Order: sequence, then C-alpha cells, then structure tokens
Amino acid sequence: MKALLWLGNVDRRILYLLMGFVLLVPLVKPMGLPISVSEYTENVYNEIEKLSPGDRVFLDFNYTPGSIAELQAQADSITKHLLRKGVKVIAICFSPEGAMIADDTLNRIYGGAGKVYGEDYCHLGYLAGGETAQGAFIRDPLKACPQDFYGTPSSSLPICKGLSNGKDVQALIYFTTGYTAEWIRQAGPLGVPIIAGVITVLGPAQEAFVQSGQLKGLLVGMRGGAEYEIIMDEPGSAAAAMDAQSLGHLLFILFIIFGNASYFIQKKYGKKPVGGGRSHEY
Amino acid sequence: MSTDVGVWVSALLTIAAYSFLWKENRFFRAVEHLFVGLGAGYGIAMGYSNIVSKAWNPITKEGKLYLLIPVIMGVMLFGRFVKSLRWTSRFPLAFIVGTGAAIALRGAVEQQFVKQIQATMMPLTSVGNLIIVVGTLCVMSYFFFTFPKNKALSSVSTVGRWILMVTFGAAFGNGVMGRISLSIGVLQTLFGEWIHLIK
Repeated sequence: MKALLWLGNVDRRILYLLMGFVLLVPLVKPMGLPISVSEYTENVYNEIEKLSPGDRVFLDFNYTPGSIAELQAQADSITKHLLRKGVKVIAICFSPEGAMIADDTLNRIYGGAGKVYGEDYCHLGYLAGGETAQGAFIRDPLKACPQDFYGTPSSSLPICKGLSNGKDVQALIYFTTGYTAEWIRQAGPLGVPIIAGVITVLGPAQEAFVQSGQLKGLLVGMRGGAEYEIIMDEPGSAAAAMDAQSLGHLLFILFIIFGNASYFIQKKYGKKPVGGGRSHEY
Repeated sequence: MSTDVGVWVSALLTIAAYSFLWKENRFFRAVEHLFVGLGAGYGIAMGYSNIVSKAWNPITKEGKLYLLIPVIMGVMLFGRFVKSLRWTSRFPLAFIVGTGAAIALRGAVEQQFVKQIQATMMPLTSVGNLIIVVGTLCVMSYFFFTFPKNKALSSVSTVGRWILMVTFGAAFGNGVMGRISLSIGVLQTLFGEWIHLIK
C-alpha cells in the first residue's frame, strides 16, 4: 500500500530515467522478439510488386528531421523496393524540410546504385501552397514545378517526358507527419493508386481510407518501417528497435496501472490525489 | 566514439535539448533559440528559392507577365505590417481562403463523404463488418442534438459514446507509441552514431 502511494508521488525524472534505461538495454543487447507483418504492410508490398520496370511514381516527402525516427525507415525501404523493381521516381515536397530529406534519400539509394539523375529519378523540390499546390501539381506537375530542386527546367528531364497529369504515373506514395486527407481529395478523383506512410498518431485516422479502398496500403510509424524491412528481407534500424519499443510499451502500461491504483487508494483514504506525479520547479 | 564533427554537434545539441527533462536551464534555452532560428532561416531560403524559380525566372526570362498578378498579391500580404496599408492584405488573404476552401471541398464531397458512406455499406457476414456498421450507427446517434432522445436512442447513443472512448484510447496508445519511437531514434543517435555502444 505504502509503495503504491509512493509511486503516485514519484518524481517524474525517475520515470524518465527508467524509461531511458528500459529503451536503451534492448538496443545494446537485442532480445530478438518476433516481428509479425500486418496486412496493411503486405498490401503496400503487393501494390509495389505490381509495378513494372520503367513505371513512374510520385514520392512525396512531407516530414521534418524531427520525425526521421518514425518515417525514414519506411521511406528507405520503399525507395529500395522501387529501385529493385526498376521503377522511376519523381520526388516532390510540400514542406520545406522535406526537400532536404528527399534529396538525401534519393541520392543515397538511387544515386548510390548508379542510377542516372533525370532519367531514373528526379527531385522537383519544395512547392509552397499546401493543398492548393497539391491540387495544381497532380493536375499539371510540370506547370506547377517548372524547375527541379537544382534549377534545371523540369520539362528537359527525360523522366518527365509525357508527364501531363497524375494519370501518367502508376502510383503516388506519401510520407507525412501532417496530411489527413489532402491527397485523397486531390489525387483520388484521378484514380491514381495512393499509398501512405504516416507517423503513429495519424494511423487511426488513415485506416478509414484503407478500409474504403481509397488507400492501397498504409505504413504506420517506426513499426510500419520495421515490418517493411522484414518483408523486404533487409532488417535495418527500425527492426532493431522493435524490442525497445515493446519494452517501452510494457513499462508505460505499468506506469498507467500503478498510477491509477495509487490515485484511487489516495482518494479512498481521503488524501488529495496528486495526479501526474510531483512536478518539479521550473 | 565518433570522429565526425557533425555527429558531435548533433549529440551535444540533443543532450542540451533533453536537459529540459531535468529542469529548465540555459543550455536548453540556447538550443531552443538556435532551433527556431535555423528553422526560420531554412524556411526563408526555401521561400526565396521558390520565388526565384516559380516567379522571377519565368517573368524575366520567359516573359510570363501574368505571373505578376500573384506576385503583387503576395506583396500585398505584407501590408499588414504597415498600419495605413493593413487593408491591402485582406484581398490576397480572402483569395487564399476562398480558393483553398473551394479546392478542398471539390474533392471532399466525393472522397470523404460519398466514398466513406459507401465503405460502411457492407454485408453483415463477419464480426468485423458488423462492428463497423453497428459502431458507425451508434456513434452517429451520439451526435443527434436537435431533439430529445427517447430511452432506446439514449441507450444506442451511450454505446456510441463508449465506442468513441475506445477510439480515443487507441489514438492515445498510438501517441505513446510515436513518442517512444522518437525517443528510440534519439538513443540510436547518441549511443549508436556518437559513442558506438549500439552495434
């Protein structure tokens, strides 16, 4: 009883340390817990498998460096899959920071594999204007982006030849920290197959579009990236982090159970519940 | 340990940012200001590049003078910083809001309304389908506010409220999962790239 009461008042810095320790140990000494691949991830894989060599896809990198931990494994794995299939990639970004990430990802994976810029892949850079810009881009990409990220006229790039609207690509894949239904609204009416990779908090909202068939596949957070690494048979940083993720969740569940138990015990014995742990002075 | 200066800078700034978890301090403050400054600077650089590639070059090199219209409207937005010219910013703002709403609405009716309703019209041949259909109806009934609910509707509406609670719980669970992923990313940077403890 006393221990539970103490837990309710524990300094939150101890909880931070405990969480850090629980996350770090399995990263240093992996436990090898099994990772199952969800149906959504399989859908993404199968959709990309349907593409043929020479097909073109749009890749939209709509995230900032702060979300690399959640989304980069997804972006890397899907880009590697597209490379393996011989698919041509046209990158576009609707967030300024995304342009930097797209540049790094494509040059590292496509450039690193000896693919030619302008023929096998290109980067159309950052386009300001949010959903309005997305609508303009999907209806006429070259008019919306007259120059690529490096200032070359986009119409002069061989990969962009005959690219008049979204119907001229075989898929649209976006990685995002913020879209809810923007691409569904803008690209959906054109019938472009859409695949999404989103941060974990956006997962539940996007699932409605998978169930309705508007999204052909969905990867959610670091877990989605880990699953894709497994299905590609190329385990990377996300797959290695899944042990830590599982233990972190376990600890969080224990925090919730003990926190609530302590809260109700304090309430029962007439003490004023603290709720949320003792806050330190700022 | 890493010999890369970039990794050292990144690690030290990360530690300074995370020092806030202990208490507010000057290192955290410095990193916070640095982050805001860098973000603003990067945004300005990208914005400038956008103006050059999508307005300046087409106007000056290709003679597309009609692009002067959005450029002038863009300049008018800055009128809000001058008291006597504040009114000028209202016109481009109205244009942005109007076109933005219209473009979003064009797709919303079909993609978010019709198709989402269609997706709930399914044969009740599995437990999953049953939960989707019954769940949707119960949650919709919770949002009837225009007339007093009778006993039957109140019960259905209560079930809808519980389903909403479960949804919020799932959203919270996903939020926790996302935050833990971000923490793992930081640990991988510090203990992997920096001090090579993680292989």
